[in-house]
Amino acid sequence: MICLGVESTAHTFSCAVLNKNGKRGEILSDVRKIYGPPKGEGIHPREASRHHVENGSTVLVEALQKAKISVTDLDIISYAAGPGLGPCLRVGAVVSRALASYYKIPIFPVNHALGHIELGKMLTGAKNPLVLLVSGGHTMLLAFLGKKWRVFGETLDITLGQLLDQFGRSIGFASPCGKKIEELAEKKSNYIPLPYSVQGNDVSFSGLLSATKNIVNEGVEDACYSLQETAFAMICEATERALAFTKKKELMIVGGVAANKRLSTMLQSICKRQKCKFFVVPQKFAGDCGSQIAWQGLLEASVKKGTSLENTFVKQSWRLDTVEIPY
Amino acid sequence: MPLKCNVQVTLNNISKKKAAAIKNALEPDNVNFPKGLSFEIKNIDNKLVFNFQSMGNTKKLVATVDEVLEHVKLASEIIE
Repeated sequence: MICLGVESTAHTFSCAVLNKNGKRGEILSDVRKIYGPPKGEGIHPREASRHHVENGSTVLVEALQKAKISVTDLDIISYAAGPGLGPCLRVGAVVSRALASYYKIPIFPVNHALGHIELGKMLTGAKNPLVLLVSGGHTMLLAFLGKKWRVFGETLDITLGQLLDQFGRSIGFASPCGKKIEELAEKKSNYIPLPYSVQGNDVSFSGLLSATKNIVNEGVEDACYSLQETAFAMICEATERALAFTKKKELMIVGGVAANKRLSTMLQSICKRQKCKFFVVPQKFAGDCGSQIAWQGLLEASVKKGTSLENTFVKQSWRLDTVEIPY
Repeated sequence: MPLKCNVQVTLNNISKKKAAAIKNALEPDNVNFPKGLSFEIKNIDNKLVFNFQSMGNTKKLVATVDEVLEHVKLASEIIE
């Protein structure tokens, strides 16, 4: 079964073609165009959606060409229906509905966060992991139980991705800022104490953000190092507690911040202590991409029929723990 | 007294199949409109007619027309 997945929840407009044969998935193509806001500024939803409109048809054509198929070869289409930015979500939905309607192809609106997890499992081979989903839109610890992903801990305010981006932008970097902060942090090891806030299994980053902005005058590299060490230690404490509680034998990290090597190193040491396997989604598929959406669509298509066009919604706030997993 | 505005956009010489696809692509998002703003799409013969109406808030009307026309252009491009 061949699926076109369309991702457009925030910065990224992406189309990917995946083939599912039994339980195995194969990525035939994954093409992305990423909206870059001006330096020091965050994402403007309407500007990002304009970017997606301008690049939509080019990305689609390239994805089909790279997969060496035509639209009529598609068995299903899936799109990220939420959570995300309204104007951006609507662009992906319009592309998917237009194709589904014109070529009579079944359509599946899917949850974007679920796509991160399921593609991570497919690519890493993790079977029943505790999942750490860390990105610009999410900071969640999740475990699967009773047909749903249950939240064992999450951020009480901003996400880990937002923490890195907002700090980066405050010192003039362009979003996404995680890579630049990681590079600068690697150059120093002088830790400046910063607020550490773990409440139960939840974390809070807003105080840490304000405090880090206030130590920039002591050196940008030291500030980046101290920010990473503090934020990642908070995440690791919550993760280790959740591992001990759930007794999971696997930990998988997915989402854009999964690309950070320092975070992976810290999580690996936890896994060693807790005697569990560590899985990290390949860097190329850590950020938002159509492959996540296509694979999620293929999994859903294995147990249910497509959605009627009039019921193909977009939902800006769509929590992962409300989605029932039927496959 | 609030300013009442009507905007009509017509897409001419369009096949029935293509018109239906564009209408189907846009219509599900035609929900939760701000108070005083409405929008409908009609597929008449070989035309697609978009009717926008607003009472008072012209900024929202202009923003809606802008976004809908972008979506029409995109939907039209990708099925060609």
